[in-house]
Amino acid sequence: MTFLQNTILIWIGAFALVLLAFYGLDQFIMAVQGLPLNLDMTPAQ
Amino acid sequence: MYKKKQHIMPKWAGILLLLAIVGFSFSPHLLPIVAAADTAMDAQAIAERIQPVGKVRLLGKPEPVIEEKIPDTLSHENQEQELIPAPKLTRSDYPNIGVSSRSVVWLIAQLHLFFAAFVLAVPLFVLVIELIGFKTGDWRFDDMAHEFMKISLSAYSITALFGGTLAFALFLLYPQFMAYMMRVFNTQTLIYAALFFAESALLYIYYYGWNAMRYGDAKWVHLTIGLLLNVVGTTLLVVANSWASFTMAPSGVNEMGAITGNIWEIMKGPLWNPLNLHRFIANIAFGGAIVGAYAAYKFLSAKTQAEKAHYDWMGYTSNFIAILAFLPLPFAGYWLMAEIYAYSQQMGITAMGGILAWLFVVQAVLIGTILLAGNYYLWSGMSRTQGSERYTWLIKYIAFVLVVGFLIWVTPHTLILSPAEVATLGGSHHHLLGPLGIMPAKNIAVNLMLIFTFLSFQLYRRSDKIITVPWAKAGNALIVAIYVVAIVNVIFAGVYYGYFTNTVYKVGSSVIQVMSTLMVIISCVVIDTFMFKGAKILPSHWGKVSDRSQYALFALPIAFTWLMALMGYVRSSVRTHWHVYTVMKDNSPENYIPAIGHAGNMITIATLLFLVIILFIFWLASLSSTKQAPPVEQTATGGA
Amino acid sequence: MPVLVKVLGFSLALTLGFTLVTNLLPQIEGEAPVEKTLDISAFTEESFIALGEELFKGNGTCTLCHNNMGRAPDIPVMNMVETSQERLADNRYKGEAKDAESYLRESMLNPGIYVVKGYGKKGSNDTQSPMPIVDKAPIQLSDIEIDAVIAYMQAKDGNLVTVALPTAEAASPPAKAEKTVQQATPTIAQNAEQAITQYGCTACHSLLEIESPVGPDLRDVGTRLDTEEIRQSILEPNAVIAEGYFPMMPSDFAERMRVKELEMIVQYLAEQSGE
Repeated sequence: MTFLQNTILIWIGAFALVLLAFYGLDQFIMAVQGLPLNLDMTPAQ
Repeated sequence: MYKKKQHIMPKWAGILLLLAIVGFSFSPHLLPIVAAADTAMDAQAIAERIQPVGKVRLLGKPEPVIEEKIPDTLSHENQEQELIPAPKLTRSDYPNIGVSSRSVVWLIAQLHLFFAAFVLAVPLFVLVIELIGFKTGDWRFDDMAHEFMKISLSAYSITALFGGTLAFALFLLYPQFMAYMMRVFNTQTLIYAALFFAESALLYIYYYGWNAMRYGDAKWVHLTIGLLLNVVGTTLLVVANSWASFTMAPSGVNEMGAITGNIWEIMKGPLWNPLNLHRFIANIAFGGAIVGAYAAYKFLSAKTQAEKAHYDWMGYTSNFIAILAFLPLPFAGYWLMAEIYAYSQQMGITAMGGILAWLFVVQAVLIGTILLAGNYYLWSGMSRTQGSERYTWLIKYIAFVLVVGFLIWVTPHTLILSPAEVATLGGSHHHLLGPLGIMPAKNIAVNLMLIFTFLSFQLYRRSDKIITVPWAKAGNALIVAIYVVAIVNVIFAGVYYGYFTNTVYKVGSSVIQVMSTLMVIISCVVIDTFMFKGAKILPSHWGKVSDRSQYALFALPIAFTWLMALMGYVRSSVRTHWHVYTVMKDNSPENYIPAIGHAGNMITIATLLFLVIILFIFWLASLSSTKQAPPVEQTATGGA
Repeated sequence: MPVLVKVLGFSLALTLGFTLVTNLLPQIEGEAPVEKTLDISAFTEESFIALGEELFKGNGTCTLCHNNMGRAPDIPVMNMVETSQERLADNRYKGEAKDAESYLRESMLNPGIYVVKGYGKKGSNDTQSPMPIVDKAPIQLSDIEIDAVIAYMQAKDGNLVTVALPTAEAASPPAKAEKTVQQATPTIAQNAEQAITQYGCTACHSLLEIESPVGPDLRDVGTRLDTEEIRQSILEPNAVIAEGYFPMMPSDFAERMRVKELEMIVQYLAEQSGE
């Protein structure tokens, strides 16, 4: 693994992880308020 | 062996005492009053608070079985009371002393609240600083905490002076209103007064006993006294808050103002706790800002480099406290406003959609000032270390976001237009700026401003460190990702749910935004804490900061003070022409909401008076540590 | 320049900056209601309508919400008689009114009985009205004032004013009880159905051919609760909440209902067995 490959992987990994975390956060927060979302974040009601 | 025993005992006695106090205050079994309050507060509709349930019983039928909500000890006296309504006043019932009664009470009340907020706030963060000093063994913290308390002490008596004057003014100028309030709150007012004995005792012991109880177990005793001081102080705050929240959203009384509930029902109205939280946090921010001004003043007048360094550091700490406490304030304010809307749509609309709407634009100006000043101070402070050079390129972007956010926040929605202006504009709202005037845009703006303010903090904290952990690259990538995704999330939630879905989703999306901001703050603090382990610390040149930056530390308390008075104007005005909303009408000569220009002038007078007195207090603090040099003895010279 | 002067100067400048902002904004003073004594017998139709308009824009605080900002129907630009007819024809309408005048009066005294689509309290699915009750605090318009407002709403679009002008006998000071509130209902209901309609039960409960999902279905309540429990549910609605429902039922029926009306309703409900 070259230095560059390593760096790119780290950054992609970081963003992927954080995106997933915030996606989950959004779904959870809207759900507990009784405002469910579809998988594409559109309102389910 | 003997010594060890002695060492453990006081410390553990103190801790056990603390637990006992906390346990007592939470356990319903030990304190029936708390049990009563708990049961009385469960799931009551707002209508029920104001209108009690009567009992209808038919002749010959048995009494229906009804759950006892309140223990007899508290409600039996009410059953025997005659239902006396609130007084109905006419114009001639109001005493006239030749000057505007409203202005007199306004100024005195506002000054009392300024000082009260200050003296309640300082012990809160002093206790934390003292604890930090004790735990880290860095005695500079302890000395700074002691110095903060010195300032607070002089302010304490001035608070009481204004409190007494306020009471006199209220009884003189609004006697029937006060008679009614005394009838409603009854013994609670005496308890409030009595608490001041405890507050004074604890305050004086805490301050004067500082050096006597400095080390070891004695320090734990001292800290406990500080904690008790804060408990009493907070109790005073929530008791006084109940009077204010009662006048806005009365509870425990019926439509006519007759008392129908016990003191807990009267106190625990729908606005009490939102007001408590908001004022508690705001007090801390306010107190931090004031002591920051003290530090800035001393910095600017410092004669030696050591003095400059000491006060520079103090200023930084004060700014840190002020901004840290300031960050959650918008959310506490949002809760307060939401509760006002839930209690009475009319009151809510009066505040934000009606006559007081422009006021919140002024609020935006003030908050913009606070954020810009706080951030500017942090950026200036980066000059204290060399390591900051890596980050200075970010400052212009942070500044850009803050300014744009501020402009969006300031943009009004409803413009009061003449018909000609409506024609020119092409409608009642500007087609481009109109959408910026409503909540989704403002929520985006404020959340981004808070995120970027926190970024300034984080950059400052990193400035003096060279990170040495092996996973630094991954950690930094994570932090950048968190910022980027959070910002995108805030904007997405605001734009999509705010403009393209229905109202319920729009309102719900604001929680996403708040949580995103909180996630940034919490996760970055946690990650940095781990990343800083074993970091190489670069020297910080305390005292090496521009004089200009100290003016930012003055701007902060001025803006805070003025903002606090502005919010007082809102709180009082949302009741429109009522002393106690819906229950006791205001029929005084000044029973109308004053125009915002007049309010601005009154607020300025109060702010300037406060400033002058605060400078006096700073001077007193300096005076108490000044020692005049004894006269030099004249030796006989020459002569005859 | 000594530090004190510089600091004071800066603080003063900043403070004056804020003051300037507030003085540049549009200056509006709030209007407190002024108590006016009016000669009731001296009203003409024109002056009565004028009074109504004054109340609509002033003490009644109607324009706070009834404007073009979308919070409530924009009454000033709507033909209210035509609108009233449309509302009465709406199959969601569950109120008592039969014509424009009674619809407008009902909207003011009992706004919750029918909520125009899209204007309900957020999250209540248009079943709860955010409108305050006009003859209670803080607005507290008297019957005559309410009549005047209705007259204005009829007249402003050129419609016939059907409200009777106040007469000297009818004009008694707004009866506000000095002691406990006894909200006077206009007439006592003659039977259970009338009482149920009068107190707006069907706004939340399925009953009398009307369906409503907000509260428990009462069409078979007789099989679930006995008369004591039914009575308690009306007088102390928060004592026992049916599973799956929220505590939303008004708890002031004890003050508002006549004993006779209560007993009629209780007996009627006890007989409801879902057939």
